[in-house]
Amino acid sequence: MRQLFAQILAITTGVLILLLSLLFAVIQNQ
Amino acid sequence: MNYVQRGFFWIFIYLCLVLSPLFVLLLAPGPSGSGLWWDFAMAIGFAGTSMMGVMFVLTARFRHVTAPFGIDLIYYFHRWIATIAFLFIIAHPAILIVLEPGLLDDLNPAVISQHMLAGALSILALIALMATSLWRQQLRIHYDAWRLWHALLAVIALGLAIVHIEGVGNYVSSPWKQILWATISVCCLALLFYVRLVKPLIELRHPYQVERVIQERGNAWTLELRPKGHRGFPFMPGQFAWLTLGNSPFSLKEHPFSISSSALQPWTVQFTIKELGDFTRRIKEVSPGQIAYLDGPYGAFSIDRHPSSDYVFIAGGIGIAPIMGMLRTLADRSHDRPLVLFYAYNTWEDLTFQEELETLKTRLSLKIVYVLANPPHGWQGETGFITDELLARHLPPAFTRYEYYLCGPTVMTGLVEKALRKKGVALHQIHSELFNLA
Repeated sequence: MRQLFAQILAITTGVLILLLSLLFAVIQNQ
Repeated sequence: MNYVQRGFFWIFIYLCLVLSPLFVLLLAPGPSGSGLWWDFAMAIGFAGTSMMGVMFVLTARFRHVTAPFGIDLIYYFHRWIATIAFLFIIAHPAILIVLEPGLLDDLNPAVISQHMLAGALSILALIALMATSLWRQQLRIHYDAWRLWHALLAVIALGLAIVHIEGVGNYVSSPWKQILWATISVCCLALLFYVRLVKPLIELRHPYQVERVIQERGNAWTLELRPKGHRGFPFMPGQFAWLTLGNSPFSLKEHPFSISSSALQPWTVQFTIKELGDFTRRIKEVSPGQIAYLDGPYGAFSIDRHPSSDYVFIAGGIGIAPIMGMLRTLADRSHDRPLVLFYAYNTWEDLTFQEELETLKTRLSLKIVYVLANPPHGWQGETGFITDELLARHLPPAFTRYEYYLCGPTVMTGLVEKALRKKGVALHQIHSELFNLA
């Protein structure tokens, strides 16, 4: 369960960073 | 703040650390947009580099940061987030080349600029870092050598990435933005300095001495250490520490082991270690009087983290070590509530702590259910694996009120966790620890 929790935490964080990177690109191109 | 709130707080800090450099880059003066996907490729390159930098914080073993999660979880998070950061960094040039194939010409060895070379070498260092980490055992790399190369490759990869960022100058043209990235590099180096120099220096002033090396059943050895010239450190039962044997705490040859002695006797620290690898096979050769160093305590696998009066312990093999620490502590605290221990082992003959567990029954209200994979002739007890039915036969009637501590092979703890959940035990009452931090 702890392995799964660490995995979910990392993937969620990764997706969040990816979305915020996209936001960065959107802001930059406005 | 409770542990959950502290956990969320540190996740927030992590995101701020990773993302703040990215958004600082948006502040003027900066380049105008170069197209959505071009700037996205830039953003994930910067984010991946920040994630690499924050990796130094994750593995610096800051007790306040690791406490809400347990350091085992931090290390597993590190593995996963490092893979994600690696994918971001790889995607950075890949997207740029897809958008502008002419960029490949810039990588021609005859004309390659210094900062592009730095970027390419940084990626090569990262590939080596990932390959040696994911397939260390298949590549037959010794753990101690791997740790040294892991640290070196991480520094090289990050250093070269910063050279690349500063060299390209995109988004970091103004002096204060260059200073920002230089500061990030200095902070990472400072962390490395703290982990590899300051912490060992502190440990050097707090040495331990091996008092006894006790042979246990099942190819296990108990190493008993005493603090030399200091009072040791307080710990919670079930926690662990990194152990370095030898005259120098600067050696990278340190290994994590659970403390198997009572938390009420911190002036004696015992580790019960099974012969499983190169280092553990040499434990029996340790002589009393040898100097050792400890970095600890760490870990969230402890009865003191979830105060209750009712506990069920489930151990598989040498997973008994931290549970023994908790049982010994409960005995020293004169705990008088009923306790249950399920202990799975291969054979009766090799069952570690067999005699002491029987003695503990006289000090605690302890019911022990031995589960043997290869029982001796005439064995009347349980055999095979810890299954749903086996738990049902031995758990107390009010079993949903108990706190459960599981330690053993991952397959075993996974199956027992599922069985307990199926029986209606709440997730927050099931505690386990991940064994393999390498």
